[in-house]
Amino acid sequence: MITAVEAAKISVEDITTMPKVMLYASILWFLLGGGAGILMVASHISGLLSIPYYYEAMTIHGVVMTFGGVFQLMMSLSLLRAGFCYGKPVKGWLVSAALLLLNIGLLMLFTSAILGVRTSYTLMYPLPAVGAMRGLWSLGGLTIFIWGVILVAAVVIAIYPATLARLIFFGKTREAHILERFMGTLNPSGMASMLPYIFIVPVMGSTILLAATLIGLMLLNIIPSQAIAWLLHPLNFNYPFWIWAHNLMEAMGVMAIGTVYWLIPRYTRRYETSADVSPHLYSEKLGIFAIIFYSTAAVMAFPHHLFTMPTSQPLGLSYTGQIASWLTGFGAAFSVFNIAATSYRYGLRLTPATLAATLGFTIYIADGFLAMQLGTIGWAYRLHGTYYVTAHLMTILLAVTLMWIGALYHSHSLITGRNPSNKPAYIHIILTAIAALGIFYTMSFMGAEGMPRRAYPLPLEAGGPIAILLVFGVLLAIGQAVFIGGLLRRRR
Amino acid sequence: MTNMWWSGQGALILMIYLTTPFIAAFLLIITLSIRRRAGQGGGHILEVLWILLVGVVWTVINLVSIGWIPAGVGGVEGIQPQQSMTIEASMWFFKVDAPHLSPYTATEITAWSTDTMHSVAIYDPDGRLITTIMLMPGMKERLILNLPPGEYIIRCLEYCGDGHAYMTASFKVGL
Repeated sequence: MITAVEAAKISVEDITTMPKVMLYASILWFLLGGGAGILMVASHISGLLSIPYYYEAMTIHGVVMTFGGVFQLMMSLSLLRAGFCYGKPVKGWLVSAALLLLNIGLLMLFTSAILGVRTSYTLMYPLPAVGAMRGLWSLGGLTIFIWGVILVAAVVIAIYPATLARLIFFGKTREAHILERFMGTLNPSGMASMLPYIFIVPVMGSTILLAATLIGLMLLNIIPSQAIAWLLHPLNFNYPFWIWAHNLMEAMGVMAIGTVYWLIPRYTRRYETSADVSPHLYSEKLGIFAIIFYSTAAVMAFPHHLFTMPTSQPLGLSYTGQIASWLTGFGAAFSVFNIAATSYRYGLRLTPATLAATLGFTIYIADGFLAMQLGTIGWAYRLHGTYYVTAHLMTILLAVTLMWIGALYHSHSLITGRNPSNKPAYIHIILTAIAALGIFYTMSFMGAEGMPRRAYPLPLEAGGPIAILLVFGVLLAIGQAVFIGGLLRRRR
Repeated sequence: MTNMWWSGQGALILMIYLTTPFIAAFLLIITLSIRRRAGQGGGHILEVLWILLVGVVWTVINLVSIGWIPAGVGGVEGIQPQQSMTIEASMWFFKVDAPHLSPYTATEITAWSTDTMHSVAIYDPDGRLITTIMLMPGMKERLILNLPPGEYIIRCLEYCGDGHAYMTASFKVGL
């Protein structure tokens, strides 16, 4: 016979165990990817890496930071939140499959990069195939790479959203599991932010998942290449790829903004001083409207990735991409208003959770201005393919990570069993934010000067900016070292 | 002012002009919020005004920006080129056919890739990136530009393997 306390403890572990494993796995991938990133910047100064090794480091950096680090962190904390808000255990074969397949896929991608497959994390299709044909890497390495892509894509496109949907819509709520109750599926808007991922990413990604699987089967000689000849045309592959990749990033951004929607009201003085007040935004309706508006616009914004094909991309599609890209700015502007108004109206308490969430959100919106420039046809012709685009990608991922770090500090005691120590937490957050902004402006400057991205060695003079990037990269690393040090110290 | 819309540097300056006040103002509001006592629920006038402001500003700038597209981009119909040049991109070189280009003349540029993704980024004699064209194998891209005299550098801006950084060429206009 177990006591009520023991029963409650079992309940919490049912919710926290798998997200904790995902969290620690994401930290390991962040360490690996971050190390590769610093090595890349240092190589621009010292020439440390040869060209093939640099591009292997670049591929590892992109793949593991995006999917092993940021995506897995989001998966961990979103499942944790859904679990304890809806009172359902985060376990079962779907959750296990998400964890295992993602990390096995990442290990395969890492292995293939070590074996020489250096395509960058955006594939640059048909570079994987052309590289193998030109002898830059082996067909065996390419097969491991493609099946790594398939496993990661299966989790990102199908298994993770299915897990999230199962937690939210299916299964029986156990009252003992509820630590922070949500009022419903759409209300508050913090939970509504999970819905775009569940409903948009699987639809937008199904074609590319099918395409990758067919290519994988072709590499294993299970189906002949003639059977999928149409699919192998670069235009027919790259459009589904960008429809998926663009909407994945947008859905991750929306979920991170939803995290801020969820966190901020919980740290207002109004909520903390009034027993009968539920935590909510200045305007929950505007919050939900912003999420729907932003997600709907983002679906149609993908053509901005292909603006610079003046003949192959129909002009109407380019204009749709520009208008939709700008419409996402509407959604973001509504969120700025709502979060600022919530904080100002109800009074905000400074904690590691609120600091990380607000700084991450600030950087996300600042980057949004740059994203809208890249989403403008005229500027895309002068900036696409330069460090300006790298600035956007790096910053959006750092901003999303920072917003999730806010959620991590909020759930710190649930994950580690102890409250975070404030001083190292603030150092971690402030160093991360300073580094993110420093990288943002430095890379933007390089891009504006026309510096090609993913080029090693750099074809234009950039000694100063690269040295500055290294400083901010080291600051970022120190910030994460402080965080991990605190985590390990507390665990001991 | 015109140069601002036509260059990467202009984009950077505008981005700094927009992001710096935003970051300062938003963080100021958050800082003031931390010092504030709790208030009551707000009225909706401010909300409506904000939505209207955002809607009007965004829409006007978006419509105006359509005019910033370089001549000929998105279709060369209706513009009669007086001369032409072709650029073939392969791993990791460009084959440029640009015989005796006259300055300030509508020049049709046709470019394509023979193997993987590449791009043609054209840098003017001052080193400024004036335009970039993405090249997917199997597709031909056409663009019309009016170029002042000078020597222009071409670089690839789409990662295409080990020789990507060295993929460069040049052509002359009116020299």
